[in-house]
Amino acid sequence: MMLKKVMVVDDSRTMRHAIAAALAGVEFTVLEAADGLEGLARIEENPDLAVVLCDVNMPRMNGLDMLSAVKRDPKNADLPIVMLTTEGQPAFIARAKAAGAKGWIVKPFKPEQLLAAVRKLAGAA
Amino acid sequence: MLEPDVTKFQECVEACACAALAANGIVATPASGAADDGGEPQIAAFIGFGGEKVRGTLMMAAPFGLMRGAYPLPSADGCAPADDDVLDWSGEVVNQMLGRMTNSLVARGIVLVASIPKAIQVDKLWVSRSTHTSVCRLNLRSEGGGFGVWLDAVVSHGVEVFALPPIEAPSMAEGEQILF
Repeated sequence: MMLKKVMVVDDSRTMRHAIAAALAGVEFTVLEAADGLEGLARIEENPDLAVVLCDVNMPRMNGLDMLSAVKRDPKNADLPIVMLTTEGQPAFIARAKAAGAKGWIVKPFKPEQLLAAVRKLAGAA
Repeated sequence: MLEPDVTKFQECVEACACAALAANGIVATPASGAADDGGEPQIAAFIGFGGEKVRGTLMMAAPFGLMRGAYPLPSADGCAPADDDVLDWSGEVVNQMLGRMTNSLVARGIVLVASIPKAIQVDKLWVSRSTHTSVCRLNLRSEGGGFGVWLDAVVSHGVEVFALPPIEAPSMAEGEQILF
């Protein structure tokens, strides 16, 4: 069975590994990027990504700026991006939604909920 | 910072710190007096924040061994997590503490933007009181040792944060998710 690709963009290696542990296995293979700029490069290199999970507060390029940059490219219009962050401020959530995000999760995440969300979005991708 | 806010910030930091530690598997409760570090190396994890009405720094100090023992991911080879991983995770914990604080202040219309968290190893830590900022110091005790949490904050002149009227659009709570 071909595993679907999920990418985690987070500057915390521990968080990337925790998210990968929740998802990796029989359904998904997980790629990692440590900031928004690296995330942009990985998305360019992997046009078959099923879902991107992206932190907000990161060095070099934050997650909201990465989201906007990705969605400016029409070929990424259908790529589901979910923000996964400690932030829960309505203004940030509204900005992400307007920029084309498919969801918002406030850390600490629940592994089973995260897996369910990724399954749902990957199935629709 | 006006006097009523000092107490409220203290309560806010206490609630957010205890909740963030609990979410990461560490049961900690308020304690009186700073814990003796016993000469053990400490981790100092800190994160800055800014906004129109409130800005400052949140810092957590904890024994390195305590944080190593509570590291949430299993190692592939059965070894203890590397120092860099423990520091990385400690930064994430203080980030989550600030996230809770930020999300609770949104209810008062306060918007904060966080910096990138940073954690370092220190041999001896001494935090002195600033002359122009308000510092809340919180001591916590857990089974594995003591924590110190400091909030060093400036509130814009004349603003009493916790007297601001509540707004209608609350922030999302920790662990919540929505799909659009």
